[in-house]
Amino acid sequence: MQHSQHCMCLIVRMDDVELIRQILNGNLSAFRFLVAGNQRLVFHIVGRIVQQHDEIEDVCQEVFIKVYERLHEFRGQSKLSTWIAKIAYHQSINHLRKKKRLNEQFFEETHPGELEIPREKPADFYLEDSDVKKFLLQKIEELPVNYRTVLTLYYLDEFSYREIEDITGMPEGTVKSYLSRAKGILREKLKFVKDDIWR
Amino acid sequence: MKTISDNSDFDSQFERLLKEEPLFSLPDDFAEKVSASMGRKLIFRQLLLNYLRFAGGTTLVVIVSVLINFLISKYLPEIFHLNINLFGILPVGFGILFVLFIDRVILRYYEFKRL
Repeated sequence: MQHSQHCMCLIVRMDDVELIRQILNGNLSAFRFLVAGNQRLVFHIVGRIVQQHDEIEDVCQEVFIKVYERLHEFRGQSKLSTWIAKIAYHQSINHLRKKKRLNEQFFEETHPGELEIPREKPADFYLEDSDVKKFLLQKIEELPVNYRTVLTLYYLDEFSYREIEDITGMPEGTVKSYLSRAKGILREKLKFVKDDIWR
Repeated sequence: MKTISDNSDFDSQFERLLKEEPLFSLPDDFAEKVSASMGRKLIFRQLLLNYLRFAGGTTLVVIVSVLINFLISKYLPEIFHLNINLFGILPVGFGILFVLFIDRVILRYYEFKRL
């Protein structure tokens, strides 16, 4: 008990502790503050996993309702954001399962060679930054769910390998491997940009 | 700021692009909506809890009264004697509890939601 309280002081920031205390006391303004502070994180994870624009907001809302209902279980073993990300990840995966859109093969080891990597260049593609961005974001959405999840957690939300392991339950080595493969695939898809520039 | 067409460093531009925000986002009032929805949920739970306490208490009082009545009728019939038809009372009791449920939980909840 004493040890867990000590851990809580080490990992959870003091303002998070106060925020959690306020929410557990029924302060809805504090809850709104927590939602506002973490909605970007939850949106990144849910958005990349669920992908359907008309479902993302509902799933994000379900995530925060779950956060509220399970906040008393939070013991501070990790950062609050990591704990929220974990709920968001599992809620999104469960949503895909419910909608039967989760292709189980996405959870298995996939080698880059097995994935089709067409060297494509859109017809109306100009070498503008916004075009490249749009193209890359579109290609990220086409990656297997595990690849795009790891990519999102690492680059957009800046979690460490260890934190991604905690969130997704994937071993650290697998996280590194997925990240490297995802980048390899995207780099390959963007190769024509590099070729055009260096031609 | 560098762009992808700055051919000097494709790799760092690639890493930068991976950190780009998605093209769509949540509505601005999302936090407001979630906390309002949570508030409604809490109100409904509180109303339901109050009702269950009330219904439980009332049921207990009725059961105890029936039991006392039964014991007095059986062992002290000279003091009090009243035949209670449980099959007549039960539907009325459930009916009253149902009406109270509609009034105290459902209608109050929608009243709150409307405000």
